[in-house]
Amino acid sequence: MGAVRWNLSEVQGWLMEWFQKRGRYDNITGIDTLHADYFASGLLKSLEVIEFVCEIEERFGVAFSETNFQDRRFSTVAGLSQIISELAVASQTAK
Amino acid sequence: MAGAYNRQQFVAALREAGLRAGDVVFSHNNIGFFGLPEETRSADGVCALIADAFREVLGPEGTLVVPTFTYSFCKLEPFDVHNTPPSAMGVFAEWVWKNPDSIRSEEPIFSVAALGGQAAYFVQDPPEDCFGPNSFWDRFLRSEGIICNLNLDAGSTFLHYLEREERVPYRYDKAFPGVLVRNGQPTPARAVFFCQDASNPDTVAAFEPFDALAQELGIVCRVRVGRGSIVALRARDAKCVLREGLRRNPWFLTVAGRHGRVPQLTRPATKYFPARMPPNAAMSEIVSALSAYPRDLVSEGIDAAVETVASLLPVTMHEYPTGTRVGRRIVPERWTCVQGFIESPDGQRVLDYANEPACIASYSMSADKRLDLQALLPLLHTADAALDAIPFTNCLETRGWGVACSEMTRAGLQPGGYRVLIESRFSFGRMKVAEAVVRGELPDSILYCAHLDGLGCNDNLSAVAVAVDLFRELIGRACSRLTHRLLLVPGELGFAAYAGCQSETLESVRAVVFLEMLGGAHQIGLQCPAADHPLTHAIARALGEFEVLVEPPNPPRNHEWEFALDLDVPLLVLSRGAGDYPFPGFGTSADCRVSIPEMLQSRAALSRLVEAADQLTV
Repeated sequence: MGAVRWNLSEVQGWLMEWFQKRGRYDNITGIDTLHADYFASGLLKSLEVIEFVCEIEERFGVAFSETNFQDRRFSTVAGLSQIISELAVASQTAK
Repeated sequence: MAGAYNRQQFVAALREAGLRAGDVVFSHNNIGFFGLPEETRSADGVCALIADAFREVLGPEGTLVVPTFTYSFCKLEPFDVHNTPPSAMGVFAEWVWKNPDSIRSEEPIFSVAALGGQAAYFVQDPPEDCFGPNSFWDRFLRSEGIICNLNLDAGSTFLHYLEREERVPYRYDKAFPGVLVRNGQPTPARAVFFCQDASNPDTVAAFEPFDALAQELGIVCRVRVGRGSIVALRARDAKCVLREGLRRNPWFLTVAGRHGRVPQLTRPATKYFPARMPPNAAMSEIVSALSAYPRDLVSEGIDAAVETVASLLPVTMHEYPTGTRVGRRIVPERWTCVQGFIESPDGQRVLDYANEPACIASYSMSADKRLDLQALLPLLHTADAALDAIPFTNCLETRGWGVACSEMTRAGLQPGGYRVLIESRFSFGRMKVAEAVVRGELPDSILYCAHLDGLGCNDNLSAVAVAVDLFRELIGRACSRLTHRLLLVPGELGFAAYAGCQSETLESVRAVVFLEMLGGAHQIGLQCPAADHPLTHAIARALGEFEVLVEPPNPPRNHEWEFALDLDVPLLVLSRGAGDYPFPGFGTSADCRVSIPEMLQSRAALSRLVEAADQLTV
């Protein structure tokens, strides 16, 4: 899929749905799903991050670099959405 | 999914990052970003592969250390080094902790787990100070350790140790009492965390600028592995980066600093402000004005009270920031009770902090509880002495919450569901000690001390007002032989902080007179050192007309006393506590008035005491 300009709220919605489909928000109250650190709050388990990364790349047509993984924004839905949007724009500009 | 890397590549990457046999490595990690290795797809398998790669590079003498921090201790949960799991430190850290060959430090907040030749050295006997001397971080720096992060930038918890070494102003020591479980037995413990002000978004840690500067200075090594990367830098180089960063911008590791702003460490008062008083305000007016403030140890209320006093006589304000160490004690954060109440089953507020501050224990944590009457009753503190009095309570040493009421209120509670709500805020503050000085011909000083904290009037606004009134006059007259110093302190911690920091001034002090409860109906009492001390004779003689009861200081009616013992000078307590001590209503909301005739008499007695002390042979 070619990179397109993604609306930030679309990306956020997809990411939150990813967690929701896996029941990660079940039985959790008082969590700010947009800004909660999903590593620290245990929403992303074990090596699941590998699957998570692959699905995002496929869905949004982007490729993360190792520096993206070090970006502290990567650990929240809000931050990761920004990274994805930036990558999508950069990818489109390059074309 | 094809393998993104293999063990051999991982070993090569660690070596390329600069790791060698015998090294000590501390690693924050998020291994998932590497992708899966060729050899295995299970989480255990990946962790074993990575640990094995470290082992191959570091050799039998080398040591791998990972964070197994547990922030649960800060929430008053017990810590058991064998059973309390790390707080979301990642799958690899958890794997190392569970590895039978690893050892974990019994450090209730910042524990680490270590594998390798020096593991025991790095985890044994952690001190109470999480980032203090001899902590893991201290040993790590002294051992020429290497930070080696997997898929994270160069930031590390180690930086907090360095920040403490550099005494950065935006973090401070805070004591966390709690429970350690050893061999199944709960043991009281305390951890001191060099923390940020959790209520202040300005001082939230920002490690990105550290990473950027480390890269700019070329002291960080970054090596790609699979889809991710390894970042390594030496602990001593991290120290150089941090120092350089602080030199360029003292706030560079805070959110505010990152955005080019200076963080506001002490936020302005929002609830309590100094009263405007005429300079010649009467003692009764002083008591009345100051009693309007809940004067918790470090609080807006006590700040407003001490600043009100400062408008009445010239003072030097000594400030001790949150985190200042005073022996084993630590100046606490500023405590603000935003709101606090108990709501009855029909929605009525049975108790409300807004009307009666004593109903919420000083330094209560926030709480929102729904309790039936049976559960609520044991939690309500009441005073034994008077049916309508609310006891003054505090949670400073326990980090819990507390509510109090009178026996009458308690007896009137009807069965049903109650709501207890406490909204409190802990933030960086400054404990203030006001000092007024009457300079005499000689530098030799007599130190007078009255505490300003609490909620009571007789204990101890009466003594504050008496002393302020007398010193106003003495400063205007200024014809004494000795120098006389008045300290208004927020409790014993204030006195101890002053005593610890003003050593030069204290060298000139020849006697200390503590002033307590000078507005009650009791006989004036003078607790003195040995009866044959010349000062005791002189003062007792001078106070003869007041029928003063001269008593030994056993026990002293004053908490500051014990912190003055090291001064090795006579300590005296002037109070109206002679005979029946403490007075009825002491330590409760019943201590809400003073007797003006008694205060006037106390003032006259103090004036005589000062005259007599002024003649002390030095």
